[in-house]
Amino acid sequence: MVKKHDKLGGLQYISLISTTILGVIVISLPKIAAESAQEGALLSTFLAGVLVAIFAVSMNILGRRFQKKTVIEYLVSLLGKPLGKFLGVILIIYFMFSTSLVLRGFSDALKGLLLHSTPLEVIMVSMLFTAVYLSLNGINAIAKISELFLPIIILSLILVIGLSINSFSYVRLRPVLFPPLWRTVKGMPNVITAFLGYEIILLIIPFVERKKADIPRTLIGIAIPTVLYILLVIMAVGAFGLRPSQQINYPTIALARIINFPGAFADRFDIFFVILWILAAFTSVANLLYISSLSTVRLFGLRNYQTFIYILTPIVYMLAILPQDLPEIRKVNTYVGYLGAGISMLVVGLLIFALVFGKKEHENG
Amino acid sequence: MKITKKDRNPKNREVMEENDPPQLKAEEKVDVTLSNSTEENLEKFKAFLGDSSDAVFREFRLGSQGIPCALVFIDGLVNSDVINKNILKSLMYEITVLERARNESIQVESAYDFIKQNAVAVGEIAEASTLDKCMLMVMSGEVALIVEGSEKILIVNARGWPARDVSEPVTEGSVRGPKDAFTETLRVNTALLRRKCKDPNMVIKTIQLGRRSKTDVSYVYVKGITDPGLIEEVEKRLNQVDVDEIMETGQIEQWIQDSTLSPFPQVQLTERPDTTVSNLLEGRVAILVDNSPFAIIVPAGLYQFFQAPEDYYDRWIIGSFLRFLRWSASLLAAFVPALYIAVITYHPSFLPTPLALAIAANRVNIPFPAFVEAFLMEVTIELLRESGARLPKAIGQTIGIVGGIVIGDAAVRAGITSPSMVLLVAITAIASFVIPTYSAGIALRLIRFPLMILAAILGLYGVALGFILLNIHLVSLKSFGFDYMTPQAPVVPQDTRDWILRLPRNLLWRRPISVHPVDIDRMDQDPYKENGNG
Repeated sequence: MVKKHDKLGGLQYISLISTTILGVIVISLPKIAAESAQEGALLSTFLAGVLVAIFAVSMNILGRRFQKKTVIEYLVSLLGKPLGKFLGVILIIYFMFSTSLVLRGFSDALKGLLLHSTPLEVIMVSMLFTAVYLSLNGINAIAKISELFLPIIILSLILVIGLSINSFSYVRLRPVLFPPLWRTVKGMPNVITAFLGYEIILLIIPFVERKKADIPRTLIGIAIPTVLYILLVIMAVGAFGLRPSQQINYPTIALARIINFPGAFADRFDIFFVILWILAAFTSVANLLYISSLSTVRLFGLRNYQTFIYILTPIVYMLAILPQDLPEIRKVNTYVGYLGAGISMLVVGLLIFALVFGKKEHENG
Repeated sequence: MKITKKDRNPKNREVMEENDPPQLKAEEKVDVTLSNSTEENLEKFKAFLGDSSDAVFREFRLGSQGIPCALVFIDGLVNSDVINKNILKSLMYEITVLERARNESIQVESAYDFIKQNAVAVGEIAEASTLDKCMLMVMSGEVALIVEGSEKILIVNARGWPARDVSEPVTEGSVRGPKDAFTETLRVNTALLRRKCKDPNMVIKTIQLGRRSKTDVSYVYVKGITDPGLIEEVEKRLNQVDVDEIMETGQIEQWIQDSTLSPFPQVQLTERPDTTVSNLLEGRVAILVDNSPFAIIVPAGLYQFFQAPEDYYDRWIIGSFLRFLRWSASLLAAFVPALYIAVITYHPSFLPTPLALAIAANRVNIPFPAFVEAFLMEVTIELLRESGARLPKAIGQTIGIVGGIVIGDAAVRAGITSPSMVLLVAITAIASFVIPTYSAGIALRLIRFPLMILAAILGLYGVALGFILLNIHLVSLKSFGFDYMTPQAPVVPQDTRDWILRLPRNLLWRRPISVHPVDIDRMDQDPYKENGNG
């Protein structure tokens, strides 16, 4: 009766998606949206969520056609060995770059916010070490940690949004309520990077109980971050105005900073929020690290992912430490964003391909 | 016989036991089969027990034929009243009366059966046909009756040894609820369980563990509720226990637990029969050890260590409040010193300005960084606790006063620590004792130190990392296949009704389903359903 691996439940599936998406970017999302989409900040966040939901559902449907296979294996069975393996490698590169980007983004932000004189390397290594410890414990532990931290993350964001309502003003919000369509569309590629991590669906479906990884649950998993993002944008723009929101580095932290309630033990709610944000960042890093090593293992057709975590971790660290300054990180970020968009498009394409031609594979899988 | 490494393997041990009864290992030459001569049998006993002064060999002759018989028992483990009145008196005196009344004399050939059927006025008797079985019974306090002409030995139950009375629980006191606690005698403990639950489905199985101590270990479960897989697993793990002696349930615990690399207890330890029975009725298995006033309950989840029996005896609002208090206290006990260090060292702006200034003013004359200050004080209070735990009550008070003065006043005046630190240490100490289970409380106190180190190195980020690491450790723990962090991770919505809150009894109509009970419902009807239909 003592089983080593249990199948993941429905709530675990939802939380894995949500916690991977909700990560470092939570604190700067209003800035990204306001910067790239200007007056379309609100609409583009919403549309990005919808688009991601479409991608996620495609990934879900595709994944469920091959019950026991992850994306790495079904790419091969769909497209043949050379092309499938090649795309698998690209996927792994994408996951590794995502991991390192999230890690770097986290370390930079934390250094700026909390630990001004701590070397960047120390922050990175300690975070990476913790993520490795979790990954080594396997998918069940990762799912349970996601399940455990998701309510904390949601609650902390709701608190920030709810408690800063005093500073909210409808007048300041008005510009984003009537968005110009072109600006909105132009801003969307950048906003979509805030949803980075939903690709985890490609890999975890085989681990989830057969009936639990359904479309409604996938949608909930995407809806949780989307709703929180939209509320954050509304709150930040409503509290600071559109232009200032573009200037402030971490608008969510700024929101937390203006919270003020009498008699509290903590004067600066923002530090309290930063601590909880570390949990959000951690779940993203750990989940991405795990799926990177999992996909690598599956590519080589091996079973033991633990060794690959040891191999991948230094590479991820190198990738994270290499960019010298913010512009370079931005550049990498953009490329990774394109790669992610490309992968998502590919999945939609594959789904159509599979729906039209793929009857046979379905039966085999 | 030398015990080789190979013999430690439980699989080989089984084979070994069949051929070579362990308690006779020291004297391999002795033949374990019994003869029909009283004298020879007695010699075999004497080969082992002859040197011990507490072994009694009472030889006597039976009936008009003068059949040689003997009693073997250990003085102190038996009730001499039973031996004198119910065994010796009936065998030496009443049997002659019987002979006279029936007008026949007992023959050597039929003496054994005759005695068994007519002459021993004791409720519980047994037969032994080998020396090792017989010896084990004698060493457990039974009386061996050797009769000439029989190759069997009659085992008469006359157990009676000095034992502590049932008294109040020491480590799990309660304001409300029954006040009896387990004692050192296994039979008394099982009786306490039977008194609480008269369901004949409650099974008490006993095995003997310990190569030399031969300790009785009972595991208790309720047939029809407990998951058969769980019972099997408990049996399997108990059979793997291979040690010389078992003095306490704690030794069993260390053999059967899942992870040895964890400060957290993975079985529940209790000295309360009411806690044990209610856990049994939730589908868990209890393990009792002779000579130990504690029961082990498996499987255990973290949430169980925050439960006290009063939670169920008081009204649910009060029970829920107390539960909530305990969870908060555990967080306080584990994290407050680390948070203090982190805030003082790295982020003083976190505090409201007046408070930050007050603490800073307090700390002006302190020569140490916050970490050293906190570490010193925490170690001091651990020392005080540990020295107080084992001292006689009279001296314990002295330690209390000395500790109060040292911690409360002298340390501050000597300029070693600040008053705010004293306050903090006091709060954490109190908070850590709120947790009803001793072993869980001590684990929380222990993890405080690594958290403090993390806080000293990385500030609040270190505390957050510590929190994450702690949670990773907790979610990866299992207790007999039961997730340690249930019903939190994985979420089991049904079980959250009896978690941080203890909802009203009529809402707890199901046993905890994460334990996989065979019979899920503990109430006849689902109150919701009833309402829905009505």
